[in-house]
Amino acid sequence: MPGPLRGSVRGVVGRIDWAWYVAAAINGYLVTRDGPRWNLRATVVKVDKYNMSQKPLKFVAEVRDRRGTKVEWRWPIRDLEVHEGTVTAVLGPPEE
Amino acid sequence: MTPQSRVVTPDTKTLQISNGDTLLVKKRLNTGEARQLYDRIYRVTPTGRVVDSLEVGMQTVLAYLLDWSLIYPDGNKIPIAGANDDEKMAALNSIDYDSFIEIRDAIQAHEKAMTEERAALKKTQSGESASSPTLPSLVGATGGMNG
Repeated sequence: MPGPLRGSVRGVVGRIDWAWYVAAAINGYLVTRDGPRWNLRATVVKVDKYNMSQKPLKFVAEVRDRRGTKVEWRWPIRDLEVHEGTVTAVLGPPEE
Repeated sequence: MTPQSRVVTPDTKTLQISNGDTLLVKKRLNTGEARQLYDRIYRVTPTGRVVDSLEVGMQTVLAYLLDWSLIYPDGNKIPIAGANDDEKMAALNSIDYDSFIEIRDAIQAHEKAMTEERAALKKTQSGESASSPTLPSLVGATGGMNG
């Protein structure tokens, strides 16, 4: 599924995955684009510390397309910080 | 003896089935995944929990299967990578039953092979006979046909 074409994505439900393991559950996220760089700011509600310490991690945004079908957009996480329930991350380009 | 990590890492294996198709599967399940699998294949009866033979095959496939090469009639790949269990089950329910049985058998054979591989490795590392797994393997446990 192609990733988003516009420069920012705001949503509620997301997660951070390590392979097929969930590393963190997200409730509220904003993905912004600054040229070739994508940034994430999100609220984590549940973290698996071990999985979050592994690599590679991916941010997965659960969205609905224009037909209402649930789709997932994925970005590889390049760098990540978690502080008091907020995660900020540098993302790679969205996956096709 | 060098300490060995007991954490299951997300390793995968590609299984070959007929017509050149392939299955991408987890190499092994961790405790959480195994418990979820066993929870789904047992049902409660007035006399206790029994294996639901119709569920063993499907739930085992769902637990291990990550991706595959199977295609729609138009030639496009049936997408299951990253899908949840309901979506994967819908894809599996859409294929012919003989193909599902082939997939189920391939994954159950993989599960058995990985168990044997680990047992052999333990035997090599400890120099002793490997202990039986705490939870019995479900391969062939129900005999006959299982879903």
